[in-house]
This record gives sequence, C-alpha cells and structure tokens, in this order.
Amino acid sequence: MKKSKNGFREIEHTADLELEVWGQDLPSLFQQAALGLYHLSQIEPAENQPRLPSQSLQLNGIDWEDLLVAFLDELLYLLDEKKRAVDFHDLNLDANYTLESQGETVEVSPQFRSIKAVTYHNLKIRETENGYTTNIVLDV
Amino acid sequence: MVALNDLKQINDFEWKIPQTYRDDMRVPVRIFASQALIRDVVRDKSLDQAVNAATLPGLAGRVVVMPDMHQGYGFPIGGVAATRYPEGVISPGGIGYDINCGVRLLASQIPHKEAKPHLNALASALHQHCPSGLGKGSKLNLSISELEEVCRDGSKWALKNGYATKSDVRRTEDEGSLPGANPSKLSQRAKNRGRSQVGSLGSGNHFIEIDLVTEIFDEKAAQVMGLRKGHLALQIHSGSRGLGHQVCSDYVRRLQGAVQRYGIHLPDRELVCAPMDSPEGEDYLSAMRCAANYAFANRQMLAHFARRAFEQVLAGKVGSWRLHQVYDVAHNIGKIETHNVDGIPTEVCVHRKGATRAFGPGAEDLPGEYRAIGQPVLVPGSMGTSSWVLRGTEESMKRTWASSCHGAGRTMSRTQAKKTVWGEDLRKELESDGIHIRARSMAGLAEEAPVAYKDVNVVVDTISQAGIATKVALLKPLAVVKG
Repeated sequence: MKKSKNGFREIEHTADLELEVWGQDLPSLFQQAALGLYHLSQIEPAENQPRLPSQSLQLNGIDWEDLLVAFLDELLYLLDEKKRAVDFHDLNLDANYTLESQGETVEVSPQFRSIKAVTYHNLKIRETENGYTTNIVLDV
Repeated sequence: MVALNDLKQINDFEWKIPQTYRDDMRVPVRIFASQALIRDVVRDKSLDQAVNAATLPGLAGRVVVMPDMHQGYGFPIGGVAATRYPEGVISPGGIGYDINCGVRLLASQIPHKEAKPHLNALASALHQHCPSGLGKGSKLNLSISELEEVCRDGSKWALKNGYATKSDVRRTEDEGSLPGANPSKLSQRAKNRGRSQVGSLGSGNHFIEIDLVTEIFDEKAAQVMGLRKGHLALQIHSGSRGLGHQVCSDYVRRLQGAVQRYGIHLPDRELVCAPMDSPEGEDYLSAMRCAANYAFANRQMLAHFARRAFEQVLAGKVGSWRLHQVYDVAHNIGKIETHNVDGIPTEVCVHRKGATRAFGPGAEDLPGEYRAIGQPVLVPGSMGTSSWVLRGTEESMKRTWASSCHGAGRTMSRTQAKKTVWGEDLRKELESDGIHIRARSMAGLAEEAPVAYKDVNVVVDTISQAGIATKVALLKPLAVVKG
C-alpha cells in the first residue's frame, strides 16, 4: 500500500496505544500527530456549539522530540480540562525548537476516550526520503 | 529482544537475567513466573524494559518483575526497582502517570442471599453516586487552598471533613497520608485539574465492583480482615486522576534536561530520573507525594459515596448495610523504605510500577492486627473474573522488596480485544452469568474484556507457590461499574 505524504496509523501495543506518524516536513509531522491523538481519543464535536475564541500556543523544547511531546501534552490538557480540540493548521517551528501557532477551537462532547499522557518511550523523529516519521506511545 | 534462552531458571517460579546480559546493566533482573507465563511474556518487550530499568544509577540488589508483567513504557508493568536513598535516582516514568493508582477493599456482613434481589438497584445506585468516566468530575469543586490541603493530608483531610472513619484511615497504606507532600511543587495546571476530580472514578481499567466472598483459604487472617464466606465485599480501583497525570508529565519533561546536567545516560528517555538529593529529585518526590495523597483521598471519597449507595438501597432490607475497610493499597508509587541490602538495613526508594506492597508479619508500618498476620494484598482480576486477597510474607521482604503482583496483567492489545469481542455481546454474556454491568461505553467495555488479560488464578498461584504472598480469600464479581 502506497502511503500518502502525510498520515498516521495505530500500532498494536499490549496495554497502551501507539501511533506511527509521518509527514513531508516537521510541521506536517506535528499536525498528523495531533490528528492521530484526536483520532485515538475518539472525540466528536459537541452539538449546537457556540463559536469559541481561537487558541494561541507558544512552546519550546530541548529538541524536536521534546517539543512534540510538549505540543501533544498541550492538546491533552485542553481536551481533559477544557473539553476543547484545536485545529492548528498553521504551525511555525523554529530551528531553536520553538513552536508558535494559532488554531481554531471546537468544543467536544465529554464522551471521549481518556488518554492519560504522551510518553517519551523510545521516541525518535527519523528523517526519511519523503520527510519525517516517528512512533509515539500514549498511556491510557 | 530478550529471548527464553537468555534467561537462567532459578526454580519452578523464578528466573534471572544476569547483569552480564547487557553492558549498561547495574544489577541483575529477577522474574517471578511459571513456565507457561514466561513463554507468554517473551512475546512482548516487558523483559527488555526490565533490562532498561536495571541501568538506573544507584540501584540496589536487583530489579524484580512480577508474574502479571506486561509491556509498558519505560519500566515494564509489574516492575519493582529500589534505588539507594538519597544519592540514588528517582524516575517518574518508573512510577507512572497514574500516581498511586491502587485498590481499596471494603467488607460487609451482608449475606448474598439477602442482597440478591437488590443487586441491580445497588449497581445503579453506585453508578449514580460515584461519578465515572472521563468527562465526569466530582460533586465537589474544591478551592485551590482546599485542594492543597487534600494533597498535603490525603485521607486525613477526608477524616477531618466527615468522609472517612478512623478505622478507614488506620487501614490504609501509610494511613493514606504520605509525609513530605509539598503542594508548592505542583504546577498550576496540576492543581486546576485536581480541583474538580476528587471523588471520581475515571475511565480505562478503573472500576467499582460488588463481590461475593466465595472461598476462604486462611480462616484466621480472613477473620482479622473481616471477610466472611457468603457475604458481600466492595472493591474500588482508581488513582490520582488528571492531577497525577499532570505531575508525571510535568516532571518527565523537566527531567529531560536534568539527566543531561547530571551526566546520566539512559537507554530510553521515558526513564529520565534525578538523584533524590538534587533539587529536581526533591521537587518530584514532594509533588509525587501530593498526587499519592490525592489518590488516597479520591478512593476514600468513592468509598464514602459507595456507602451512601448501600444505605439508600439496603437500609431496612438487610440486617447491616455497613461497609468496613479491609485495606487500601497503592500499586504505582515510589516509597522510601528500609530493606536489607547485602545484610545491611538500607534506606531505598522502592519504585513499584504495577506492583503492590506486601509487607510480611512484624512490619512496623502496619496497624496492630495486620502486624500479626502480614499486610493484606489486593489483587483484582480482569472484569468478570475472580479477585484475590492475599497476605504478605517474610519471603517478600527478602526477595521482592516487599512487593507482590497487582492484577491479572494484559496479554492482548486494546485494538485486538475490540476485534475479538463486541462490547454489547460481552455485556450480555456477563449479565447472563448474573453480573450486573454499568458501563459508559461498549467499546471501552470490549477493550477490558477478560480475554485480553492473563488468568489471574495462574498469576496468584505463581505468587503463592513462590512464597511471596499467601492466599486468604477468593472474590467473585456480582456487579461492576466501569469508568
């Protein structure tokens, strides 16, 4: 099966959840990881939702892997605490491992699956012919 | 990957991975498993994760792995490691995101015969009184200063506010209140997440279960614990909710930088750690204790709500509807304890990641009645199957850092479980076995299907034949409320 340029899929893990993510560049990889996280959370937009203010984000890490965890951690926090999902279609990544973005926010129904945390377990962003790829283990 | 022929068999239930297996190991690994269990275990990465855990700086003796082990992240689930206090390291990933996830068991004098017509109503009342599921917070919404009090005092906060009895507190590991908890070491986010969740079950494998005591193996110990054959009991499995997850996430991130500063080289970033006498190590210890106390208070609140449900349904219909605490144990935690290392009493930090403390008779930290028989060890089975009550032995003190197993242990992925089992079918099957089920989601139910777990009886047989803990009572489920 030919992979599209950007994407994610779930990988089998005995107790937790694992995502394989790929993207043609780093921002695409980060976006796909967010989409994968939301997919595994089984979120659905809440009905009759009001318009919510957009969410801005500024994060930094010690390397790309650390920044990716920080980014996904942020999305989990917004989901668990605020019941909100964010579409960060415009991600700016800086070479000194900082991330800036502004995203559209939607409220989601609280009937989603709990993901406790994003782990660093064997986390490594690898460069491939077509961009970047990584595997992320999530604690449930 | 570690293969069967890398292991050295010590006896029928014990195996060893020698320190020579990999250059970076600081101590050997001991595995407690039967022949059948060990063949199952080498299919996933649990033993490689145990070898990784054996590389932490400051480890004492050996890394121990329990028979309910399975692959986790960083440490294997079922892993126990002790680091010398205070110069050794503490690893947040070696304790887990659900800090002080644990089990509480309450016993009753309610005969099954009398309660049977009311079990369905009781399941509904439990479901109604004990908030479950991810979106469901608690009925309480604490102020930040109240939340800080919960984190400092744990079960003692619950006692002060009328949610606990003195006996509940006495019969909780560390009396439900670890000293040295400092809320100023929690992030604002951790506190915010904690405010609305104390007294809520959470989702995943968390549950409240009404059980029937079906068999007693140790009359004397069962009597001391208040367990009687043919009577109801109640189990609560929950942890520190979003507050605990946030504490672990915060510190795993912060320690990514600390390992570089302290020149610690690790085979997996999830194992990041810091010496306990460093600022980062001290801060995590304080924060982790806050989350542990929060979890003790959380299970105490759930017990309080469960008592209300029992009263609402059973008052006037049975002789006594009281629920009295047998014990409450943590199975994801780091504890400073004194153990014999090469014959010398030594202070160590025992990391228990999916393992239960199992103090033997004579341990000073136990309440008087349990000092005589050894600590109750609570081993919940997978949904719909048996659970066990064991007691700790002198052997556990000598061989496993006073630790025992914590459950059945998964053997099948969640995706695979959902492919194999249809949630609605499973619910019907359990109901036809006379087990009342209340669950938020059928997919969630399928993920926790018994087929996805090892046989808890095989796990407990291994533990008891290895002499780590001995059997006291067997429980069978009558009603399950799933998170």
